[in-house]
Amino acid sequence: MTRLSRAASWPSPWPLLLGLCFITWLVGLALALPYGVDGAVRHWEGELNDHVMIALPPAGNSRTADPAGDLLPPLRAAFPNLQATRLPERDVERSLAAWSPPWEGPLPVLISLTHHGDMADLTSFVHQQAPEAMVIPPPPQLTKLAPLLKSLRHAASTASLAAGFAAALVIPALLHLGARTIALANTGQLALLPALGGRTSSLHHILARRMALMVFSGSLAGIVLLVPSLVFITSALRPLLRLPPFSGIIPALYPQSFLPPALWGLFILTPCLMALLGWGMVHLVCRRQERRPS
Amino acid sequence: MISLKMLPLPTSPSLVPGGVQPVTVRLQRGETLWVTGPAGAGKTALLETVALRRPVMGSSLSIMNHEASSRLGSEARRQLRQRIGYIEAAPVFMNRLTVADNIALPLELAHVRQADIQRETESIIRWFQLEAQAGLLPDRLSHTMRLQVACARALITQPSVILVDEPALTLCPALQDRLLTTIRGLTKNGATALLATRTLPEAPALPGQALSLPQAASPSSPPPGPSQSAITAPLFLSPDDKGLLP
Repeated sequence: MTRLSRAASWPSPWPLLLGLCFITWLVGLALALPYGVDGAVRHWEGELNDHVMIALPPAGNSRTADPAGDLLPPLRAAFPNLQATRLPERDVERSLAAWSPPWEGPLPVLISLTHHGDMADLTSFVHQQAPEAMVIPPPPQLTKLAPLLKSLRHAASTASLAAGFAAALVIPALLHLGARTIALANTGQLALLPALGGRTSSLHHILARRMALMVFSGSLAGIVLLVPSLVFITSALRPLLRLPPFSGIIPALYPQSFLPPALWGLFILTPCLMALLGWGMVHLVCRRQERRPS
Repeated sequence: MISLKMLPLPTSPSLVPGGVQPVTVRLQRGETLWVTGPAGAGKTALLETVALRRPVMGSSLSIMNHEASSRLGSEARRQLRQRIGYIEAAPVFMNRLTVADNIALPLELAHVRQADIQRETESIIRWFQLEAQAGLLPDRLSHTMRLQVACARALITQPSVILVDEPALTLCPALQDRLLTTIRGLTKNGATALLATRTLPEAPALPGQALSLPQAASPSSPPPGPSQSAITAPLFLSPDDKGLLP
């Protein structure tokens, strides 16, 4: 360590360290919130029963010999995203047994399909093709849940935006406060250095490096707190999402947390970015102080 | 070495009407100039101007063949300052560094090798008898000791221009003797010294020219008395001392 490094005064680092730790944790949560909510909602929607059943009269009671065979091609042509399957008789029998007492008579033809569009369109098309068909829509879970999920998404976005806005104000303010405190603590040194034939920029570099190190440490502590926080939140949500409990630590972090890899990359980079900001802020404040001594 | 032409030097209005006196000084390498005058005569202002700590307005200052105007680049200014040793009336130190480190700092700023810094620092600490204080922080020293440390710090680089303000020359006779002996050695090697005191010592250990402040308001007006004619006359010396340039 050079004499100039030892000459540099250093105020107590704890306020800045704790402040940056908290704000990094908050920013991390704010960034993770919309992704997490979106991923959870998608998962939830995927778990919902969206199977539509089309019941057709048995072949003997129908106008055509193969009602399912007549209906499926135009149906697939009209709704390309539709996944329609004619259920085998064994499955039909089991389904009917689950609905009511033993079915008497010939088994109807059942077509199972997943449809995410408008049910009315599907029903009218099916009735055009096969007037005697009965379209059984899925239970109206999604219809009931949609407003809730929409509100959830909206709330997550709003909370994220508010936290991001707060962070955008607080982080520069915190860094400026830290840099200003450091510059003021070293006013005497910065004033004396030119008189001795030294470059003030040498001291600026030393102060900026220390500030960057401190900011990095504070931010890293925030990220270290953030990861278990995310794991805890996701663990709490897993029963609601009908997911098995976490197995191990590493799989718990990345694939099952609904967060995209880019966000994890951003979390890793955050301490470096904050350190860069702190470094630049010290240079800026010191230069301004040099031009306009307080 | 030093050429100062018509410098408007701030002076106490009780000494000079208007509070400004024009001063012209020309000094060659190896010269010593005693600047005398009462409090408020502008002695410290003159030293600070030559030390490049005051802006030179409305006049010209040339130090070691560098025009020290506002157009002087920061790097050239820094290099000039490294070759000027200024012992202020109230020296300021790096409060977190020990006395030894404070004395060594100018050498470190001039990128001298650590081994040389160590050797030079130990040598000058012994010369100014600061061994007992070398490990102390400057805050714990008396004013006289601080002046001694300031002398050691200013002279450790063997500067080409030495500027000494009054307290270091009058506060302690032992310090004065040691300081003037050192400066005499340096001036023999080509350094130029400006020493500010209220009155000229009767038998100064360091002989030299004298400049009494305040000077007359007009450079053309004659000096006030016969005893001061030698003091007030500007020192015209050849500035061709390019050999001292870095």
